[in-house]
Amino acid sequence: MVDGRMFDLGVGDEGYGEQFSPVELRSLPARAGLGVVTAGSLTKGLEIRLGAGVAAEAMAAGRYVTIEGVSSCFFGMITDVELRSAIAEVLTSPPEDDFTREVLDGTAVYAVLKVSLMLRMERSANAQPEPVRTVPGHFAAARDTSQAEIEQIFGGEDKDHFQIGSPLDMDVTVCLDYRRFIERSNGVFGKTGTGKTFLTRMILLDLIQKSAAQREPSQRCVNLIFDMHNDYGWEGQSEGPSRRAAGLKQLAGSSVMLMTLDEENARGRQVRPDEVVTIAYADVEPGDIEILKETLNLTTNAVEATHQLAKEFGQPQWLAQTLNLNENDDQTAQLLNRLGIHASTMLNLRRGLQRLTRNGFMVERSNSARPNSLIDNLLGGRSVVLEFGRYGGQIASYMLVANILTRRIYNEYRVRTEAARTAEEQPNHLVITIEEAHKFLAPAVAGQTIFGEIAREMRKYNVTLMVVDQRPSAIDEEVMSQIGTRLVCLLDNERDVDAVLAGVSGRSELRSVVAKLDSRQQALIIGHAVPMPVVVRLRDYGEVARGYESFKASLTAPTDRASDLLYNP
Amino acid sequence: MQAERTQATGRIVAASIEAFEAECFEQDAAPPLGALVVTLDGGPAIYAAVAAISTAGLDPSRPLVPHGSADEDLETVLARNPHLPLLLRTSFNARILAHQDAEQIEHRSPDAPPRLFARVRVCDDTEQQRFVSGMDFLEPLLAAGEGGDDVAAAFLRRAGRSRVDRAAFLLEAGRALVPLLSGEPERLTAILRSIRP
Repeated sequence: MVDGRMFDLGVGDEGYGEQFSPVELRSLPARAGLGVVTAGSLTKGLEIRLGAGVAAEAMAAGRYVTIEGVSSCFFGMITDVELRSAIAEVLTSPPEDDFTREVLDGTAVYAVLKVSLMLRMERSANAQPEPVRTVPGHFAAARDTSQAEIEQIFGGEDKDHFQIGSPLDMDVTVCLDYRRFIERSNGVFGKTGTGKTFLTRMILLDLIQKSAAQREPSQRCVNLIFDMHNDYGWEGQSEGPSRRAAGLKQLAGSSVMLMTLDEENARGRQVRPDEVVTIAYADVEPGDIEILKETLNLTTNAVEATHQLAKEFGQPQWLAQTLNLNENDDQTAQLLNRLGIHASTMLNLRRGLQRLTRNGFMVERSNSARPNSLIDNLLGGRSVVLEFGRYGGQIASYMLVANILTRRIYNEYRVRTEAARTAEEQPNHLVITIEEAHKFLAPAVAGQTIFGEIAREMRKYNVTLMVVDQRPSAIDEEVMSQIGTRLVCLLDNERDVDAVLAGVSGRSELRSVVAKLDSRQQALIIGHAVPMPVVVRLRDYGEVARGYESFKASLTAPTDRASDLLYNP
Repeated sequence: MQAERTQATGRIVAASIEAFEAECFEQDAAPPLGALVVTLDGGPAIYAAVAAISTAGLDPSRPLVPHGSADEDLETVLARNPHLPLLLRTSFNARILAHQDAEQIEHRSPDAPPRLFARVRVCDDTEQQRFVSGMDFLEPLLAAGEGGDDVAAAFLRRAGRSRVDRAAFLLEAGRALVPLLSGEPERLTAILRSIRP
């Protein structure tokens, strides 16, 4: 606890060797006091001097503090902990006995918290959190933020809020605003191995649950997940003894359709998909090939040749006809000569196209009885997980299929949205989850992929993205600026940290918070769906799954039970 | 320390608003270094810390001559010269720390020196604890001249011994010393070394 003396710091620069004189201290409130405000500004945050007896090592970056102003409370996040000394000689000759060390701790040597202010709330009944536009005065008391305050700020779990985790060193839960979350595109970022997949799967389950709880159809959402590594559909990997965790299909039953590009791979994993998806040649457009330029190792001339051949042969037959061309044939040679396509260019293009068409999911003609099954399910209120099987390891296949299907879905959504005269006629809000998002949204291709268009147009046609990525610095800046809510796991690349914090108030202070996140089960959440940035200890996925089971049991509509298939510790 | 509330120790023979000198009623019966003493007569009580103690001949113009041979101890010398104690005086100097103002103890110099010939006694434990209940006494205690740090350390050690929470008191006092001596780190560390439990 702070003792009865307080120290008015003289004008100093870095804190070493400051001279100070004793000043009377206001008594701290009864809740665990940390210290008092001694310096700071609106733009750079506050400095809070820890009282004697408050251990610096107990203060963690990302922890919340409350500063008691005269007429309002300020809520902030610890972004740094700094050690300082008021007497330089103490550092050159550190004390050797415990008594002197204890005397000097908190008086001659002390810790300072750097706090980034987030919200302010008047001291009145029914007061609402507001943005911070001023600072508390000198010597305003600082303390730990209470659980009641966290609940007041973030709200409790209800049909419009879903739990995401708990703030550091607290047992209270933090909730995201469901409606605000689906209003805009969102991102899950973190370096490899930090649990992005777990976090994404948890969010998807929460979205399915909250959507089902909405009375108004316009507030419901469906999800389309392009499942690169087969982690979301039936089951995924976990760190538990069973090494497996139940996926969305297991838990949500008929609310989720499990589709696959690779039926053989699915059966090998004892997974029974609801449908097998194929991509017909006729579905491929020149723009789909263009975004794969680097992945397929195509030359610029080869990409240009794609457009020329598409123009020559017309959509939808250009791909089939291009693959049927025989360079040894006179007719082909004349055609290429007329179009100005060199033989080597044609060879490069053919190799690239064959890398795609030799995949089992590519068919010359679609033989599906339900060519629009995927769209029909989404429009019918069912989420869809599309597993890529063994093809997920080929980034070209992933990008091609995701781009083609999303373009088709987006066009359908655009038509229906523009034709709708009432809110009820609008199609269900769609959240599309894509992994390796920087491949689709890099500056060179963001203008050409449907995903770039969706991200820039926000929710113009009721479609938003959830991008999952370990290299946010490779994503186009304009696209990143449209990401509403960012869930940031540990990132250690400075450019990646800069990218996820771009446009965020107090980003320079939050950098240190991101760098100090645990490598597992911790995330910084910022943006549209939270009233202020928060570092959370993420919920355990098994707990979320069990919670969903309880929720399903309360629904009147018949659902599949999957309690036997839950994550088993 | 035993209660000595009613037993005067000496009488003031010189005084200023910063300090006073008192001659003891009995030889070698001066209060120890750092003891908290208080005036008994002549106006509001004045509190002081014993800063120096001396015993010398009554007549300063006549220096003392040592008695006894090298083989004779002190007791033998005094037994053979019983008149010697009558020729000596013990006195002590005390640094004024505070004075009584109505019901409050004001930790600053009084408006006037204590009265000459006023009696002085040592404060008992209760008075000592009340005096050091806040840390306002430290600043005047540290303002003493040469040798003042020894007085301060002795005062704090005695005050600590009068309290049940001795270690906590010394810790609190040590922390209160830091801002007062921030510009004199050597003094600070020396005093802390002297008072550590």
